[in-house]
Amino acid sequence: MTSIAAVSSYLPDTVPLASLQEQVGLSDVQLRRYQRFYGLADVCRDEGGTETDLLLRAAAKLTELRGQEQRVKYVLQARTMPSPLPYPLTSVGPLREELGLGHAAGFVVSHHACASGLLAVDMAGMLLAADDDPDALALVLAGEKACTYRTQSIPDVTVMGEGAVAMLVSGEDAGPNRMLGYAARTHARFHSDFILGGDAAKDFQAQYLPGLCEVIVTALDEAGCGLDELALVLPHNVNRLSWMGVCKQLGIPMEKVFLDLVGAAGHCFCADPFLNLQHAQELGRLRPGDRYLMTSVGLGATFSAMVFEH
Amino acid sequence: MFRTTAPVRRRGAGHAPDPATAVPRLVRAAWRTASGPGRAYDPAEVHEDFLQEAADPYGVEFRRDLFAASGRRTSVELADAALRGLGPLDGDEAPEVVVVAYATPDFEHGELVAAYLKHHLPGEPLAFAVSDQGVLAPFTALRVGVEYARRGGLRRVLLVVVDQSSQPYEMPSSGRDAVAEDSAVALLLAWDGGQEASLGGFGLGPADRTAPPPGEVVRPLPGLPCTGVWAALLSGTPASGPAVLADLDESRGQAAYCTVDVGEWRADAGTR
Repeated sequence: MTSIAAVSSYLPDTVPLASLQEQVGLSDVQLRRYQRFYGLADVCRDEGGTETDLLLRAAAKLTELRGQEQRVKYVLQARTMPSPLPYPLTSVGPLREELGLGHAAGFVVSHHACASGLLAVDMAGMLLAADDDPDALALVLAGEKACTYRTQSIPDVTVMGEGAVAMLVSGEDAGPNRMLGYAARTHARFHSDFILGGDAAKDFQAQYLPGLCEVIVTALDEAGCGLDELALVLPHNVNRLSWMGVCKQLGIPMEKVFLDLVGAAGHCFCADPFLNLQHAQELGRLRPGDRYLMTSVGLGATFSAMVFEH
Repeated sequence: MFRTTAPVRRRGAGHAPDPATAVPRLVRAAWRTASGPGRAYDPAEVHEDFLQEAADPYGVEFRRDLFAASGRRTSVELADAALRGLGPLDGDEAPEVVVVAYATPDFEHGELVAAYLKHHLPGEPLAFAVSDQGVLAPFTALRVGVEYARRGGLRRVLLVVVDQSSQPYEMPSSGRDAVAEDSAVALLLAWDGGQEASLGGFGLGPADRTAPPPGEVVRPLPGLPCTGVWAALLSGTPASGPAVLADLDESRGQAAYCTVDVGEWRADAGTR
């Protein structure tokens, strides 16, 4: 079994989307569309922090890690961008040292872009289940910088935020969030670049709804869970509009989709569904026995869904 | 599509230890290198502002002189050359899991190697990358690839390991992090252990507690952080039976070893 035993999040201070208009390169019409239809309003940014700082700030709030460091066998960082730090610098190295996890194996999981977070949770549970030690844990981290022109937005889709998460994952049925099913599909014809243009962008737009619905239905099937059994959907926070289409297609009531952070944080790379988990738990939106769905879509292009029981 | 339930623990926690282990078989392998100047450098095409912006928080300076003098071959090009070295992979030989391993990023290009490889392979393999673990990333890639095969009842795993020598910043000039040339290795592995056997002959952890078994051990060639240990195997005297490969990451204080059965691997007929 794979379970998320604990989750913490770090949301930096926000800035109004309008203040980023020139920086992101939005026209007045685009800005209004982002605000009125996409539901984007404030974006969280940590001006002075590096990627390593963001992840450390999330991990510092993971109180369940304290005193359990020796149980942590793996540190997995899920990352959208394949190359954000000058070689040979990494975030994983300093994180292991700062958190007292120098004994743990640490590495980055990527190339599912923003869907790499769900892959990292699955991978962590798989490695732990294959080991001898049922008490062992994995620390899974996600969160990235949006500090460059090329990484701060997906044109005509969303604006990136710098929220980060830290999670303890168990290979046992030991946590409050038990994974039941997972589906991921990479539509590799979109491999050529992160930011698509022209016909490729139109093709991706056409693929988006069926691609996302396909993995949702498949993950639910693996979990033995019906759509009507879902208490909550913890989505990727790209925008509100895209979820209206998914909900209409699958018959999911919009009120079941946790969209609180779309307008309060922006799209935080791989961290979105886990940020939503932490906030939904904090708000009491999940009760014992509730089944819920996480989703992510990564440019490149990977669609992923994962079903949990709380 | 990759689809799964949660993995099931089979060992420990009151269960009898599972004594059955297996090692992956190396079926095909190819190693390609490239050096010297590549395409002409055009600042207008290189997004120099991005390269400087990305490095600023770490106090690192963008070095146009170094970058312009480098080969600037894409990591996709390097991986593709190694993949082609394997020859056609059809039907029963097509991999079901593809894992890319690297330490050296490709800063200039947004193309994802794992997605590229999937696009050029038959079938629907699960494809992803592991990195940021220095010289030990390919060992993790092998472990994770085999675990996905084992869990899903799959049989073939493709590892593609890339060392990218074109970096827009000053690189280490010595030690295991130094990169002497572009290099990529493609390894097609068969997993015969099914879902019951565990991965044998593998270890990754603190250097003082992680040692390969006694006997002959393949050690890495210098100047090739991630491909070095595989390049040593592929360029050495053809062996038969199990081969043990090991590497040490002094900066992280960690070491790793793995074992592959090389008794039947088909030699790459291409040139480096």
